[in-house]
Amino acid sequence: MPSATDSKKSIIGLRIGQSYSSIAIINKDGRADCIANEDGERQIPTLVAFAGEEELAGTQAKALLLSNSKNTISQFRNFIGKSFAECNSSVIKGTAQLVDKDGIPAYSVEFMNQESIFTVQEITTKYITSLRESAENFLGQPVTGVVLAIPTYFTDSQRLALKDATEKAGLRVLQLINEPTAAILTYESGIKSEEYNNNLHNDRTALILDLGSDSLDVTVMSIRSGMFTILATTHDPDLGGAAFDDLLVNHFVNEFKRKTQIDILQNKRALVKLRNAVEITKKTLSSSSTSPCSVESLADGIDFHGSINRTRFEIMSNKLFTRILDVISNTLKENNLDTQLIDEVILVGGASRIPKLQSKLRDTFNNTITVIRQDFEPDEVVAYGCAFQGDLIGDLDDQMISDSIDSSVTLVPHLSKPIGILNAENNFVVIIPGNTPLPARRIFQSSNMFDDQKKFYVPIWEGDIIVPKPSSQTDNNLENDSTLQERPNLSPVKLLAELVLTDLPEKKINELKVDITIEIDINQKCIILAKELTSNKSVEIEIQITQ
Amino acid sequence: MSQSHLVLGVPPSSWDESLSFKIHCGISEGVIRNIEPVGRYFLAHARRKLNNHSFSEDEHIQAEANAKKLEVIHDEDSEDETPELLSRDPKDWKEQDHYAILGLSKYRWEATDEQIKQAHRKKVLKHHPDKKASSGNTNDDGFFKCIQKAYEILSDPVKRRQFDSVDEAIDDTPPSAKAKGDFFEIYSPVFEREARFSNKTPVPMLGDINTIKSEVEAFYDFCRDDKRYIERKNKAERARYKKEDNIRLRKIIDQALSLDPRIQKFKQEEKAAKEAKKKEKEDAIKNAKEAAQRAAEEERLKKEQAEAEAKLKQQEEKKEKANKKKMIRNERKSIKTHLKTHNYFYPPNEPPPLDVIEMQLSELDFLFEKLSLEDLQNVRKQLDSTQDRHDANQILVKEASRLVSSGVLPMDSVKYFKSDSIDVTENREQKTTDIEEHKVIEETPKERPWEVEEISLLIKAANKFPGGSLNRISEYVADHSGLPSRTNEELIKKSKEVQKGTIALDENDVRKLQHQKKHADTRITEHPSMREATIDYDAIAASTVNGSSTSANNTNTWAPAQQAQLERALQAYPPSWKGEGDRWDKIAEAVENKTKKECKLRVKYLAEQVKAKKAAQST
Repeated sequence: MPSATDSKKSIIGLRIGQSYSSIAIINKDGRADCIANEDGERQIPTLVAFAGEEELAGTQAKALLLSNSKNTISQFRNFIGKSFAECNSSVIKGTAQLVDKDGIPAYSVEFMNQESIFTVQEITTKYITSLRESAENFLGQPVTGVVLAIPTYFTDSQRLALKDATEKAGLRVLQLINEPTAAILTYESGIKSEEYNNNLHNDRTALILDLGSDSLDVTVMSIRSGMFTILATTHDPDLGGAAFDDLLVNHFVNEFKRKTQIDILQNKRALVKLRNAVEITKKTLSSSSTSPCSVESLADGIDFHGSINRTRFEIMSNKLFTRILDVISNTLKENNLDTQLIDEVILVGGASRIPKLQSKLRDTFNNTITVIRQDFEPDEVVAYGCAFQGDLIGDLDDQMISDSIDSSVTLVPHLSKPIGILNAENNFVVIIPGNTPLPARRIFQSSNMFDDQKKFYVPIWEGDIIVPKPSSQTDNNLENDSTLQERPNLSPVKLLAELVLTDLPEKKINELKVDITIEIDINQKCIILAKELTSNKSVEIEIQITQ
Repeated sequence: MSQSHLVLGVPPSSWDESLSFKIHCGISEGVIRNIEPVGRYFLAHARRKLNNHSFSEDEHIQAEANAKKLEVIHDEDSEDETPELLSRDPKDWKEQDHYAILGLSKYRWEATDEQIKQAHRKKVLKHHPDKKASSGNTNDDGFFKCIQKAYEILSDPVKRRQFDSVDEAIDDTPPSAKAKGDFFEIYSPVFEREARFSNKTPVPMLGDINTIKSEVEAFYDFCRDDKRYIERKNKAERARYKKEDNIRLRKIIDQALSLDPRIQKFKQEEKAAKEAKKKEKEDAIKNAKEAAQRAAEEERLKKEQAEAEAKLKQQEEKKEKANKKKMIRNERKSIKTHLKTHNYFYPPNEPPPLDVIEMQLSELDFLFEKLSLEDLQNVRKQLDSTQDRHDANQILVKEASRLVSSGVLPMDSVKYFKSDSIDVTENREQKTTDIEEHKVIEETPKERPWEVEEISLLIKAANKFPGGSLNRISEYVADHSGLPSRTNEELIKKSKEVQKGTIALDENDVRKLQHQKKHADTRITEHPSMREATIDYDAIAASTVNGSSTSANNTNTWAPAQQAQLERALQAYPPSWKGEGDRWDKIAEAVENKTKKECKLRVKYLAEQVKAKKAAQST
């Protein structure tokens, strides 16, 4: 509207996790940061509780988890947009149970001294409202928009239901983005735009390992000229941080039994207590070699004091590590990918801090090719990405946003095989790597191999079926040299075309510059242009896909 | 680096020279995938895709858009600078149109901060005095100052707002109520214009005929609210102006007051009177002080004089005394000379035995003790007048008998100058018996043999105390040897013997003594505190048993009654007591039969005892 000059946008990035949620904003320095709720927590428990006449959410609900577990609702996110039949209520541990309300999942709780039924949708709205209030308390002004992170495995109806619940909570939803995409956007946001110009595309392939509290998500993503494409994704709902908690709970249940002859496996209250304590024990184990676990009055008024060292924990969880690594290798295999093709492994989710997991990943991937990264807080990196995206599109109107994210824009052909040039030494130099979304255009500069070279021969080839790492003209090409040699399967397979420039000006070695431009349009028509810069002599060809 | 990667060679020898290219086949079929719709590069992609632009087309459009942006700035720059504008006097900045100066008159309040900044920069580049000077222009920086002022106003949000609110270039008169035409067309711009002063944004707009009721109501509510806000602000402003005016007025009055010559005169007079009064007061104080000083000085002088007189008198007395002493000594000497000239009453050719001379001289000394100066003079004169030894003897005998008869001298102390003594020469036998008798007396068991220790103590005491203090010497020897005290005679005799070396101390005895002494010394140096403590302890024990005690080194005995008196007196005259005379005099008065010194010693002794007792308890 009129005085747009000082209308302040305040857009938040929101990640609603199965156990914890976080709110991120972009601060004045242009960096993303999570904000704390009224209780000073940046990781806000995804809980809603009813206590007497009060509705509580987040940290306050967690405080009542023990005394009021029957009226506390947890683990509700994944049920949103599902029918009751689709919901697996076994994941609920000790809190309010799921009931069927005309086929819709709902919770039955005691509120205002009477039995009340709240649908998952309503609970989600209540929860998001509390998050919005926290953000507005922090910002001191209304939130004008939100970018929400959602798991990649969410169905369309789930996405819609979550968007709906968020809007009901009084927030304008700018966009829903996939959690791994948000994570990679955070990593990418640090790269300056200058680094993207021309040939410096920073193309790479990343594997995002999101080990959340309740599930494991492995996503392989290609990054081409700052655009992201998901190549493969796997979701394992049973393999998350909670699985490690289960191991620790079992361990301490046995220890307690040995010490006191009391079996608490059937004592739900004791188990909840122990589970809360174990969560901290597990976190401590990531930074120190031994960690205590103390529960006051665990059962029959007996206090429990135990401890576990990291080695024991690692031995215990060895099976879980193996399973995680299996998920990774299966994901790669099923999509014709290989660990050799992964340039980065990005660790997301609190449980990805486990040191042993990181060392196992280092063993699995080739250290000279793959970098294991955890530059940002694994709990917050997804919310950061949402905030970055919010910052980017905050000024756009809804129509523009919805047009942009339409499948007609996003769904495009991607180059299936790399296209490159065979140089004077018969090496295959990739100009456009595989999985690059189309249209694509790349410009490479080439030079003469000897003095007074009058002719230039430019053979254009298509590479091997295995997507190679794109070579780039960055300064760290020495590294690339070695990696290229370590990929024996990377080789030119199909000759597409040959170009020849003649009568070029006489120049010393390396002084004759010829720009080679390869542009592939959306119809996969390939235009190749070789042009000498001083004499403007050039050859241009078009290759149709049908040829 | 890239060159090494992409170094291209020449076509193979099989290449057909006539061809510049050869196409073999198309690229493999691509895979349809979903691009994640995030990030700025995706936005660029979406833009291309939605507008159906190729890369180069998109680049062209973007470049054009950028050029347009630059053009806009260029346009602003080229806004006419009329000669009228350029010749503005910077002193009249209050009247100047800042937007026009910066070439932003078509934007006015809508101009963004960025626009203002850009415009300022351009104008400065164009009109900087340095630039003008270099192009041969006169040193006229008037317009530059106008630019700076304009920027100063417009870059400050508060000042800019103030300027905007009185911007004459904007027509803010309400539209005529009778104006014909579309209501929305007339009023929308009016409200839009007014909205610029709203602190609350976004400002709701008038809307159109289709706007729903609630929004229309909200709009009017907002506007009224805004009006009220302005009203409040105006009120505050009015108050501020009033306050400012008051301050100004007060300043004028203050200034006038400070400059009025009459007021100054009054003030000076007042000040002079005040100072005179002050001086008077000060003088009085000064005089009184001086008088007091003078009196004190006089008193001091008087006192000094008196003291000097007293001193003189004392000195005279002392001199007189010394004279007298000297005379006495002379008299004694001349008497002794007479004795010698008379050959100690022996016939002139017969040398008297040594011990007789000794005896006579010592007895004479004894006599002298009791004789006044006059007596001595008298005796000496009598002796002067006679040449006969018998007469001389008689004179002395007479004198001695006079002293004995008057009870000053004990009978037995006079031997040689007894009235019944016979002539030495005539009664030789008698004399010898006398001597023998004397010998017998000397040998009587009455006189104990002198212990070595006793002799050494005697020497010590004799050195320590001045001549004549026999009592003290005897006390000292007795105390330190632990033996019964000697008579004065014994002491004198012994001391003389010692002096003359007649009794040489046995070498062994001396060694023994030295050894003892040394031993004692080491003991003392090694355990001084222990020794003290034991002594004190005993003394305390004694004092607690008897109430008043006699300790080894305190020969004064204190009766319980005396002790009680002392204690009372001490209470009555504490150290802090300030009264007439000496505190100790009063105490001594209060205690029967005790002198001031004794009292002092007693108190000191008791204090030591108490101290020792405390030390003993604490250990």
